[in-house]
Amino acid sequence: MTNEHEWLPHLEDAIPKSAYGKKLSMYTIALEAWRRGIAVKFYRVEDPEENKSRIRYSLSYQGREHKFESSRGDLLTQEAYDVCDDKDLTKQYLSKAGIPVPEGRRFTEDAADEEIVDYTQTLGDPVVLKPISENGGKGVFADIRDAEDMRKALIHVRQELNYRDVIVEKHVTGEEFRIFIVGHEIIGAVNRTPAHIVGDGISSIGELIDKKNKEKRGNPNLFKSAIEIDKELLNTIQSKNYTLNSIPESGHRIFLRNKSSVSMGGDPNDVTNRVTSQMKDLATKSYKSIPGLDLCGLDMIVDEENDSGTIIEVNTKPMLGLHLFPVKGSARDVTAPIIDYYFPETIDMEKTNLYFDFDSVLEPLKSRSTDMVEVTSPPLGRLYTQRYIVSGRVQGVGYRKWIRKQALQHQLHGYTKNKKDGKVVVVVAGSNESDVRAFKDICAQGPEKAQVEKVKAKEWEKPVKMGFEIKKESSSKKRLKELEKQLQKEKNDKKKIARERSALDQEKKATKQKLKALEEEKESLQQEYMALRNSRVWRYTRPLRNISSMTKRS
Amino acid sequence: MKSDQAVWLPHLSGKVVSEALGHELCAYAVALEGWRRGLTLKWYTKDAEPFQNMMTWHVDAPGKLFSLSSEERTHYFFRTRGDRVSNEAVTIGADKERTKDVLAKAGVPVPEGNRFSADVSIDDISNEVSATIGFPVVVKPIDGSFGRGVMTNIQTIKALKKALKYIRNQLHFADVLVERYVPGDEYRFYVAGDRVAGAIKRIPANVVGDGINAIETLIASKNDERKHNPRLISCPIQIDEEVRRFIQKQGYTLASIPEEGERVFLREKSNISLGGDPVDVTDDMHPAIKQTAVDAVKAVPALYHGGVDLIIDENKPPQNAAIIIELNPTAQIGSLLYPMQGHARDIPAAIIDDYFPETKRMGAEKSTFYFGFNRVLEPLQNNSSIMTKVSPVHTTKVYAKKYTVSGDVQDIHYHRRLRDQALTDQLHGFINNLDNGDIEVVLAGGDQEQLDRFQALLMGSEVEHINTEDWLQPVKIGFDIQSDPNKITDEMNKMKQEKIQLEKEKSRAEHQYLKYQQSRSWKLTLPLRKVLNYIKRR
Repeated sequence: MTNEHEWLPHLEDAIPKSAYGKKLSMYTIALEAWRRGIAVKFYRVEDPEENKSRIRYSLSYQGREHKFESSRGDLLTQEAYDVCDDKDLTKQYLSKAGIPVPEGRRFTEDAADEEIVDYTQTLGDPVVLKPISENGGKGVFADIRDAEDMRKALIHVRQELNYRDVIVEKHVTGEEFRIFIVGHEIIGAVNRTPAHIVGDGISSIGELIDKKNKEKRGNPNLFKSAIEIDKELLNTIQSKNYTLNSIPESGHRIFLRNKSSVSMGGDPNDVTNRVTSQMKDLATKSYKSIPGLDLCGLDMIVDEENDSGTIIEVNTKPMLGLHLFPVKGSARDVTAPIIDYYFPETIDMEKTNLYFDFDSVLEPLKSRSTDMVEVTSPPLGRLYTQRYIVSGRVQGVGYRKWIRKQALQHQLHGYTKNKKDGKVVVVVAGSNESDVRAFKDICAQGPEKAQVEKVKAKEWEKPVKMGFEIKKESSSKKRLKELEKQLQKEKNDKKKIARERSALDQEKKATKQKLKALEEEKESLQQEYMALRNSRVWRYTRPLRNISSMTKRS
Repeated sequence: MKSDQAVWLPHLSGKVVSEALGHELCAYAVALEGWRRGLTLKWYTKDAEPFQNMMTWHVDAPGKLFSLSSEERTHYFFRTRGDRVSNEAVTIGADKERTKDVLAKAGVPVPEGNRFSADVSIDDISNEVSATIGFPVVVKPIDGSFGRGVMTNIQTIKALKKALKYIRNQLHFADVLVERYVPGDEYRFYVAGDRVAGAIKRIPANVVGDGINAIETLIASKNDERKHNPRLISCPIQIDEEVRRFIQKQGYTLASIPEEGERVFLREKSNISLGGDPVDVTDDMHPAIKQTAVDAVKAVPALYHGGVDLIIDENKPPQNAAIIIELNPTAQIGSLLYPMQGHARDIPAAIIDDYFPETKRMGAEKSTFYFGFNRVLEPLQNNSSIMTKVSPVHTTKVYAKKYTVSGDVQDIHYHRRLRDQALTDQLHGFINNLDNGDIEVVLAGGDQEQLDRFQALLMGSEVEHINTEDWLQPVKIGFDIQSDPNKITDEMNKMKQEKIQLEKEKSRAEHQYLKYQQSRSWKLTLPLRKVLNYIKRR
């Protein structure tokens, strides 16, 4: 599966774990801006309604500031937001511009369920029931085929989920595309296939789900959207005469759910090349029909046979990760056009290939000690990067610490880490190519205790985190365990330091005592000396002393 | 040392400033005062735009540059000095001779003296000094600080020449200042808002005998006590040649045992950094003397506030008892906040009153919350950010309770759950594991009812008993639980610092030991010791 997609090189390895999932749109937009030299601030706002605090960010360039919440920027007008938030209103705007929308109507909270069921019959099945305003597919029931199903769905949506205002509309069959538009331009499109696995002739369905989930955890966008084995999923596979232990044939694809939403384990795949010029016209017309939009994610049911489509929704805060990290196909750079749109004066800016330390920016915001942090600006322009592999006696001799000091002194960015085979990897990036190349000699030198045998140099294209980091060896797999280990280590270190401290304290006291003893000795000597001087022995031995000094001289 | 005679400010207890000892103490105290009054507080790295035109130094590590803003305006600060103070005023303060010129012109008393540049020979200086100023005199290098190279009470031409040679040849300061020696004690005043906000007398390093312990032991125990003082922790009395010589003059060695109640001075210089004792004297100062200090600050254009060093001769009438010897636009205020005797003076409040007079009223009813300095500075320290803004606390009234919870209650998940709830409810505090298996939960917030609601959440199936009492100490914002990596890291950093300090002390002791062995007296007595041994053997 891993080879079925092609992601953007400038985002490869540039997404810290803390940016995976919900914060992905925020991080990637901020990163794009930051790389152009736009000042980025993250701040915390309290949401009194849900009694939670949320992180927002602002971008500013030459005195002009724009505020963002996830992928929603402040150039989106309140009117446009309100239109898209109300699905019925969206349809009215679209229809007025002659854009095909599903037939249907809205019911307010005073409409009785039976009234809605009656209306459904006039539409003919299948139908869709959805709340007037919702996010992420919650409470959407597609493909309702009879009155009984409709009644059940209404109870669930209107009473259990408490969405009183609903829309009932004709279910338009066909594939659904998510089309991303910013400033009249279509940047990319994805479809979403429902959660599924593909057999390999060896593994069971259960094992294939595990494998698929592992892949999802490595995808910054799907990190938290694992396929969950629940009643619905078991029912689905049962209806296809499988159990979790069945072993599907190699290449045989089995869908595990009917719903295609990403949060239910669906896969986004890039389909930009399948968007025809007819469909593009339709998308652009839709975008224009709602005044005040900056960017949006358009949901279109496509009718490839007739080269047309039906618009079912306009999202003002679309997930960018769908386009940046598709499961299949090429990633589309949706962040650059957003920044182009908000800060057109930075279009031609030469971007750095660094990325910033999102964790340490987020940490004080999360612990609530700060409520605003401004990210340090990077050096502008692309940095030249090399990767050195150092072999010899380089582990356990303070090599990485020493390298870090050298790198910082030379104002180079990058990291170093131990390899399992005893070698050390050093990645350095700097604006001056010769500095980066010359660092090979520094690697070859190493600290006093190290014995470097060989340094192998390699070009390195991946982005590098600003600053210089000593990376821990282990993989990101078991983060919690690692953290706990780290905690234990810190505790041990603490004890060790406490021991060292008390040992030092004792040594200090011992030295002081020695010093004191010495002084006492001196003092008693002086007293003895005085006593002696006055004593007769001294006077009597004078001739003797004179003689002995004379003999020494002679 | 916090002796029985010292009263510190409860809202600036040693615990509150424990993360800001050393050079960041003053900045933290001023910033905290503004933040507690509801002003917006931001910390910066030196690369931040607003500080490019402000005179600052030693700012590679963050924790000295900050801003405070009200809705109307923002003021930037470098340690205790705010942006009302002009760079010109800072330049004047850094140059003792210019300070004197400016003060003398304004009619503020300064010691009579002359400045000599590198091209004036030592002989010429000596001749001119004896002809114009007269003895005794004080000699100091012009660019010196912390009392380095300052020599006082020089009585003769010969001693003057020796001192000049030492400053020029050993310390390599070419430009020197020779002043008339003014007898009297040294004081540090802090002037803000046209009044003296606090005054301390600086008493040179000393110990008081108990009739049992030797001077060296007394110094060690005094240093231990100084470790409990946030200002003095970084300034132990160091036993060096100067101390040895100084007590020798009085007929003592380090091994001498002073009588009970006898005070033995260890140095002539009174600098706090050299082991001097700060003693609050604010209420004892005559208004005329205070006026002299205020006049001194007013004499420098756009200075407004700062430290004033004076010598006061008690034998003179107050009107002309004080002489100004130095102005410090970027003064340290730690000794005024943590005196060894007397009352602490709230200098941070005086500074904030001056910059944000509209918050003066709030000064009295501000919250006693404080913020974790390390955590706020962390993103600046690792250079990932150039500015952080400290979370505000939107309350002046603080309700705080301590719950001692017994039962099987040391489960980390239980603690995490409580923390998450506390953070959501905007309550602050911490959980501590006690050795007997109980836990201490301290909670603080602006709403009494919310606190009561939280108490119900403490109850769980494993809880046997909860004991509730009021909590009166300041509370750090956020919520720390034990085994929190952050907290352990904090503790470890603290221990590391102590370790470094100990290493320093140890190497200092070793150095002394070596030096002593190689010292002349020891070498000189070597033949003597040999002879003695020889005689003894016979």
